[in-house]
Amino acid sequence: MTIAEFLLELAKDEKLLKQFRADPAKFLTAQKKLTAKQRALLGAGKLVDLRVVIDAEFEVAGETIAMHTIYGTPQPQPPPRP
Amino acid sequence: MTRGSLTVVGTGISMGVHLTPEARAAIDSSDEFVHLAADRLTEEWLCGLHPKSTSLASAYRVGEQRAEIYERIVERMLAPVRAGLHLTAAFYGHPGVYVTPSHEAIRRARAEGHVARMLPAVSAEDCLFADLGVDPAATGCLSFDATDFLLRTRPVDTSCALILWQITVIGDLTALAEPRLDNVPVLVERLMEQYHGDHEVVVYEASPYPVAEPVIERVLLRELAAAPLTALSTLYVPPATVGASDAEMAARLGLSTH
Repeated sequence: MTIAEFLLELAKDEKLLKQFRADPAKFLTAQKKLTAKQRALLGAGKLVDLRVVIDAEFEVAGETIAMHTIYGTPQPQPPPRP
Repeated sequence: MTRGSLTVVGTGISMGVHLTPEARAAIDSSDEFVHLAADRLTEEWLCGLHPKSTSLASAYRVGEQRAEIYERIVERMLAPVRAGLHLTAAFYGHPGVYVTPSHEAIRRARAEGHVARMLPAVSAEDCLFADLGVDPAATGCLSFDATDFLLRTRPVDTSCALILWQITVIGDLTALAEPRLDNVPVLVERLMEQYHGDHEVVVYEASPYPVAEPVIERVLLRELAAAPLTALSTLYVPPATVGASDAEMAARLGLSTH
C-alpha cells in the first residue's frame, strides 16, 4: 500500500481517523499494510518529505498544481501610487 | 429558463478532516460535483465523494494569465447550472478566501436567476491562528496579498500582527509551475523600512494531511529571502511594538487604563 492510498483510506473512514487521532503512534504501528519505512515517515510528520513521497507515488510531480496557481490574486493590479 | 442551483463549499485545509457536515451534505445532494484541490491526493479523495465528480484542474495552463483561467472555471461551473442542474463546487480551504472564481460564479448565477450560495470552511488563516497560537484579537491583525501589499504601499502598524500571503508569486499574475522567488528581497526591503532586520518572522505552511505537522520556520527578517520557501508559504510577522492606549478615549468608554 502506498502512503497516498493509506491517507485516502484514512480520509474516507471516520472510525480510522478517530483511532488515529486518539493515539497516532499506536495507530501507525498497527498498520501492517505499511512498511516500517513508511510508518517512520508518517510518524515523523514532516510535511515537506511527505509531499515529495506522495508526488513520487502519483508520478505527476511535474503536473501537480501548486496552491498559488489556484489562489493567486486574479484582479489586474492598479498602477503604483505616485 | 430552467432554474439550477450552485452551492460553493470549501474542503478546508486538511484532507478529509476539515470538510464540514454541511458541505458534505451539499455534495451528496447535488446532481454534479466539481472541485479544485491544491494537490493530487486531495483531488483523488474528492473524485471519490460523488459519482459525477470532475476536477477543474484541467482549466490551468502554465504561463497563462490567471484571470483567463478563472474565467474558464467560472463558465465550467455555470454550464450545468444553466442546464437546470444542482451543482456543488468545492475549493481548497475556504471557498471565499483568495478564490475569485467562486465569488464570480455566484454573482453571475444569481444575476441569471439561479439559486447560489457559499458555505464557510476552514481557511489557511484559521490554521495559522491555531498552529502558531496567535489570537488576532490580542494585537489586531493585518492581512494582505504580498503583491497587493507592495503595490498599493499598504500602511503597516508594527503593533499589529501582519500576515502576507503568496510571498512566492510576488508580481506575477500568471499560473506558475514553480515558486517565483526573485521578488522576495523586494518584500524584505519594504518590511525593513519599519521592522528591524533581527525581528523574527515565521514562514508558515498549513498541513494538508492529517498525519503531517505544519511547516513553521522561524527566521530573522533580514534572512527571509534565504529561507526555504515553497509555493504554499505564508509570512507571519509578529508585532514588534506595543500599541499605546488613548487615555481620553478610555475615559470616554468608561475604561480604566491601569
